[in-house]
Amino acid sequence: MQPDLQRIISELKKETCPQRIRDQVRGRIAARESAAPRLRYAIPAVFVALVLVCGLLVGQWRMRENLREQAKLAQLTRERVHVAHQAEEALGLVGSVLIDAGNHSEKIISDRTIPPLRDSLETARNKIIQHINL
Amino acid sequence: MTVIRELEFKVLCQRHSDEIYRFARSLLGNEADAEDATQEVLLRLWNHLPKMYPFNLKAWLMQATRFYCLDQIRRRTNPAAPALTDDEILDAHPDEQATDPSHAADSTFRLEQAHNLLLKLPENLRSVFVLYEVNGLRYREIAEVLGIPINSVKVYLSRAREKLSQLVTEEELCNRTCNE
Repeated sequence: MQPDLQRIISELKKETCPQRIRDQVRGRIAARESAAPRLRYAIPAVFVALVLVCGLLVGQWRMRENLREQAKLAQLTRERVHVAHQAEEALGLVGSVLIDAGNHSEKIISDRTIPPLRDSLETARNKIIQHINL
Repeated sequence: MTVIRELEFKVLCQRHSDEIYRFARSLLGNEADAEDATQEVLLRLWNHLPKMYPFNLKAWLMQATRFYCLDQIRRRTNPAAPALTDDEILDAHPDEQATDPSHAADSTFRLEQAHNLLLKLPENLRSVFVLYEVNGLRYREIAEVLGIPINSVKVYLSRAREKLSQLVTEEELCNRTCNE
């Protein structure tokens, strides 16, 4: 090999990595390793907290939904009771009207129909008696 | 468990960080990017350490370095920075270990020259050359890192040497002409 080439190789071989590079690497590793345990617990803690918050939110939402359904059911029941009361009142009114109508019909019948009928019957009886006597 | 992992990592860092850095430097062409690449690869080593198959560690590291560096090169949107002048190189890279300032400057300058020559090679030739000659990997390991047959590794290495020799000769000729 040429002496010049040997010289270049020996020059290149003399070059060394500065000590501060190794120190910086160790520093970076130390910083990362000291941060690692905190992160190791922080990430699961955040995850658990998120799960809890989500659980609470879902629970509250379901509770609100239940309350809403119960309120809707109560409203429906109240409306039914109201309708039943109204129907009862209407039927009562119709009944009283019918009773009044019955009473009225009875009075009219007894006042207007019975005397002529009785008179007719009396007349017919008298005629029959006369006929028999003859 | 963590203590053993840290000790193992420390040993591996000491043993392999220079090789990672040199390879990244040869691929990326500048120190700052090579430093970032070294850090990233060492961090990947730390992450993969518990499940790492230990026998091909060196090849794995070089492969990780290569993937990272090629990814960085692909992501570069702006064209390569203009080449630094000699004075800028000397200002930017003072040699802290040397006692004689002129010697330190000369050493840094020679290293920069070597890198500049290396950067003129195509990526595959450069990778093979650095992995074999500088980092001391075997043909089989280089073939594993680059995902090519062993024969191709041999051919690439031969071409890289040839091309580098040619570049050195050209540069010497240019220097001589400039001085005259």
